[in-house]
Amino acid sequence: MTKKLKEFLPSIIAVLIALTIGGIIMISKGVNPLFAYSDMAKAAFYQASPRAPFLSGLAKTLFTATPLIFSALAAMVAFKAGLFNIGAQGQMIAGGLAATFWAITFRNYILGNVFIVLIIAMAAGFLWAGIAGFLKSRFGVNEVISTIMLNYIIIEFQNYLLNGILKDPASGSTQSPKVFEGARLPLIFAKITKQNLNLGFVIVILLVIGIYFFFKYFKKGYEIKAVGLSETVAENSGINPKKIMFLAMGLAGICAGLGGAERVLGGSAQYAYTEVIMGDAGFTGLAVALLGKNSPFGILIAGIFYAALDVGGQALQLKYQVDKEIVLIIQALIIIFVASENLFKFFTLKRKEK
Amino acid sequence: MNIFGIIGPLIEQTITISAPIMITAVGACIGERSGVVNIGLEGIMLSGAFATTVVNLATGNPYLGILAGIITGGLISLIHAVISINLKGNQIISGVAINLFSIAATSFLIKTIYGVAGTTPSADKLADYRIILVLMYGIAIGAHFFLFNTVTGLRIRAVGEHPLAADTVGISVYKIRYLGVILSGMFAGFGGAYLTAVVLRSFSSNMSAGRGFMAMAAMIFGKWNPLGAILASLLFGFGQAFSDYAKTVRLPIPQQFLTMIPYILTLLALVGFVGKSRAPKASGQPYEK
Repeated sequence: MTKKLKEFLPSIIAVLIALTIGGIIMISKGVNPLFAYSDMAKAAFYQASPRAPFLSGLAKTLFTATPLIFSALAAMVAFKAGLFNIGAQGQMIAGGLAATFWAITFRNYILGNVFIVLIIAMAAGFLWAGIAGFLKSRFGVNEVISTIMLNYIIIEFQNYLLNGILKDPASGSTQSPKVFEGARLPLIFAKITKQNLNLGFVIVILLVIGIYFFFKYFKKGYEIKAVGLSETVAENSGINPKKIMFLAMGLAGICAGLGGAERVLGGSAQYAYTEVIMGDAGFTGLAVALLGKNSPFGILIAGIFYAALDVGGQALQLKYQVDKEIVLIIQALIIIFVASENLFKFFTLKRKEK
Repeated sequence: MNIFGIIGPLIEQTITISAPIMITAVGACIGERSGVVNIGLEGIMLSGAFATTVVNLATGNPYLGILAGIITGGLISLIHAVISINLKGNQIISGVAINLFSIAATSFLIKTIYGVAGTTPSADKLADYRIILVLMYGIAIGAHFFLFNTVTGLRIRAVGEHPLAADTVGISVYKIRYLGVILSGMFAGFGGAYLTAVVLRSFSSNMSAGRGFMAMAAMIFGKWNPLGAILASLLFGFGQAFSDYAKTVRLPIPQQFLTMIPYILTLLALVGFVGKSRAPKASGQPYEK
C-alpha cells in the first residue's frame, strides 16, 4: 500500500501546487482563497443546491464524474495496447445516438427496455471505434488520425440526424424527443439530493472493477498489455497483435458508447439528445485517464476529483463572481505538474543526498 | 457555367484554407523528427492567434501582431520542451495540458484585458495577405530542405531516430530537441497568427477549432516529411474548399454530409495511397543521458 501511495504522491503534490497558484490568481482578484476553496469543497462534496441540503453536492459531483470515467476508461483500454484513442468523444456520440434512436423507435418494454438499449449503445461504440481498429490492423492507418477524422464525421452525422429524423417536431431547439420511460436509467437518491445521479454511476463502478479484473486475471487482458509493451515480443510469443489492437479499440468503444448512452438515458438533458449533451467529456476523459495513471481505480478517483473541481468551480462563480476560467486554469496546471512528476523526484533525491 | 470560373477560385480557396494547417504541420514534422511528440499544437495555435490580436489591437500593426504570435508559440512550446526533455515527463500529458491551459488562459485574458466574454474587439486585417501566404509556403518548402539538406537538419533526424548514437558522435541531444520543439511551436504560432491576422479580425475562444489536430494528421499523412505534410494539408484544404463550394450550388445532398468530405477524403487517402507510415523511432521517448 505504501508503494502505491508513493506512486501517487507526485500527483498529490501536483494538485497542491496547482491549488496554490490558483489561490494566488484568486488573491489578485480580491478573493480569499481559503474561503473560496472551502466553499468549493463544500459545494462539491456536501451541498450544491439550497433546495437539497443533504449531500446534493456529492450527488452532483458523482453525476458529473460519470461520463468522464467512462471516456477515461475508453482512453485507458486502448492505451494498454499502445494505441492512442482520441476518439472517445465520437464513440460517446455514436453510443448516445444509437441509444436515442432505439429508445424513441421502440416504445415498449420488450424491445425498448434499458438493458437492450444499453447493449445497442455498446454495439454502436464498438463499431465506431472498430472502424479505427480495423483500419489500423488491416491497413496500418495511424489511429490518431483516424479517430480524429471519425470524431468530425460523427459530429456532422449527429447534426444531420438532429435536423432530420431525430428532431423533435414539438421542440423549437435542435433536440430529439424524450426517450421511452422504460429505457431510462433510474435515478438514485434523487428524493434526498434533487440531482440527476442515476444508475449509470453504479454501472461505471462495475465497469471499473470489471476492467481491473480483466487486465489482472484474463488472458485477453494480458495479451493487450503484452502488445502495448512490445508488438514484436508479443508476436513472437504467439499473439496476433492486429487482432488484439482491434479488440482493444472495440473495448474502448464499448466503454465510451455506454458513457454516451448514460447522458441521454440518465436525464442530464431530461432524457433527450441535445446538440451539447456530450460537452467535451470525451476529450476531458483523456486527461482523467492520464491523471489516474492509466489504472482503473486511479481513473475512478481522478474522475471524481476532476468533477469536484467543476462543481466547486460553478459554486465559486456564483458566490464570488470569479471567472470559471480560474478553475480551468487550475485543472490545466494540475495536469502540467502531473506530467512533470520527475520534478518532484528530482527534489526528493536531492534531499536524500544531503 | 465556365469551368475555369469554378476551378480558379477553388484553387485559391484551397491554398488559403490550407495555409494555417500546413505551416503547423510542417513545424510538427521538425519537432517530431527531433523525437518530441507535441499534441499541444492546437493550444499553441490558439495562443498564437490570441497574442496576434492583442498586439494588433495595441499597435494597429498586423505584422507586429503576427510576429507576436510566432514568439508566443515559441514561448509556450518551451514549457513542453522543459517537461519532455529535462523532466522526461509524459509528452502526451504535457500536450493535453497545454491545450487545456491555452483554452482557459485565453478566455480568462479576454475578460481581464477587454472586459468582455468570448470575443475580443475587432482588429485590422492585413491589407494584402498574399505576401504572408507566399512567405508561409516559402518557409514550409524551405523547412523540407533544412531538414534533409543541412547539417542541423541531419542532426535533428539523427536525434529522433537514435539519440544514443547521436550523443556518441558528440551531438547534444537536449539542444537539438529544444530547437525542434521551439521551431514547432513557432510554426504553430504562425499558423494561429494567420487565423486572426488574415482570416478573421477578432479572436474568439477556442477558434482554432481542431486545426492543430488536423495539422498532426497532415504530418502523419505526409509521413513526417514537410513536403508530404504540405501536400496532405492541401488535400484537406481542397476537401474543405470543395465542400464550401458544393454548399453554394444546392446539390441534393444534406449540408452535413458535404462538411464530412475533407475527413472522409483523408481516411480514404490513408487507406488507398499511404499505407503503413512509420514515426521517427525515438519519437515520444525521453532520452536519459
